[in-house]
Amino acid sequence: MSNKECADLYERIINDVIQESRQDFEDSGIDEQTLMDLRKLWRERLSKTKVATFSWDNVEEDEDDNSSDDLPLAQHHAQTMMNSQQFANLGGNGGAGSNDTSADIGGVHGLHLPQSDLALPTTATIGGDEDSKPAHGGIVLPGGSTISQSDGPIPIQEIEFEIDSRSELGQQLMKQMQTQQKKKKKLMRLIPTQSQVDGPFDDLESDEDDDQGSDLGVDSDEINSDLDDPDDDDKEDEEDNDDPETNIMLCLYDRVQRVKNKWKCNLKDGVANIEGKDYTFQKATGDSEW
Amino acid sequence: MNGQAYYEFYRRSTIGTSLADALDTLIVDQRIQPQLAMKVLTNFDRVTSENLKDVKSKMSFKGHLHTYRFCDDVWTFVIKDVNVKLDDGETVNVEKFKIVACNSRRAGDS
Repeated sequence: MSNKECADLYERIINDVIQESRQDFEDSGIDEQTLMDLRKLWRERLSKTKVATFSWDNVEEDEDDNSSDDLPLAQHHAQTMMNSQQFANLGGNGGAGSNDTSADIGGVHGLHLPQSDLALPTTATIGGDEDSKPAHGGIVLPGGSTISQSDGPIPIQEIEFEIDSRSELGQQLMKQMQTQQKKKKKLMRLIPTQSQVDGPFDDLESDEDDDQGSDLGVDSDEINSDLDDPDDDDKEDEEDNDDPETNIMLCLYDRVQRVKNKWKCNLKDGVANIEGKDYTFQKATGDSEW
Repeated sequence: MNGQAYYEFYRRSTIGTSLADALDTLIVDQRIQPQLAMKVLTNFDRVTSENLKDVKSKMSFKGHLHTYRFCDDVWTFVIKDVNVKLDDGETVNVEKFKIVACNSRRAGDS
């Protein structure tokens, strides 16, 4: 693998960033464990991209195997306890957690189901929590059974899940939750424009308004106008497209020259993704014809 | 060092996006505040810029320049049918390749 240097660089960057962020974490009252978890998550995400082979790729798997082989249940349990404690601490120290406040104001501490811990399969225990925005009628437990809501609607439901981020299932669940959250957020943004509860708006259907263009009307911005929505979609599409940056080179330029249609550029300090692998370079030269 | 501005565009690299993902996870779990995540990303900008100076390898490429753009001191090229030569003599052919290049004279060492 020719991109060994890139792997080395990435490992150095991770170590340095973690090192230099330690003070920032301390200043924010965040414990060392969270910093270590950040490093762990970062490494995991990076390994998943398969842009290079990293030194921890083998080591970490071994560690995981050992621990889960020895005492899987105890491990899960310990993890669970630890996470719960961390959350408790967070709430106590930080105080500013929006989670706590909103839940307390509502007088309902989420729908924190005591039995949910037990009902979840052992592979999917505890690790994060989620704000669920739109109200559902009830809660669907993994078994397929539902707990219907009998105490009237709540403006904001807080459902706390905890998922073991080590297990594959846990990671999948986390991903699902995150995408669902994103969707919900998008939905929330769209709801004001989409849900028309005051009857059909006849005004715009008349020819007069159509001729003037719907963008002129004040209403048209609020209601699901043609101009409004596609913009949003475009932006989201762009963001989505930008997410997997493939075949891209990020670098600095020293000089860019053009003679007629021939371009020459001198680049440096670059990191490039080429056909799924990452490369770094100190200097690069490029020749191309327009 | 202090107060010096570093380019943020390395956050688009694989190492940058995976850091952002990791930070996002911690924020969603409400284990850190977004402000702290921003500080970490600022550290990442600095660390990455500094560390890239120590890289040794070289690279060259040839191709058909499809698009060029120079805006706000940033060059963007889209090159097609690219042949990339790496340090060890290995070559890679890429159908389409995008380059985003910032001015080296403002890269934190000015």
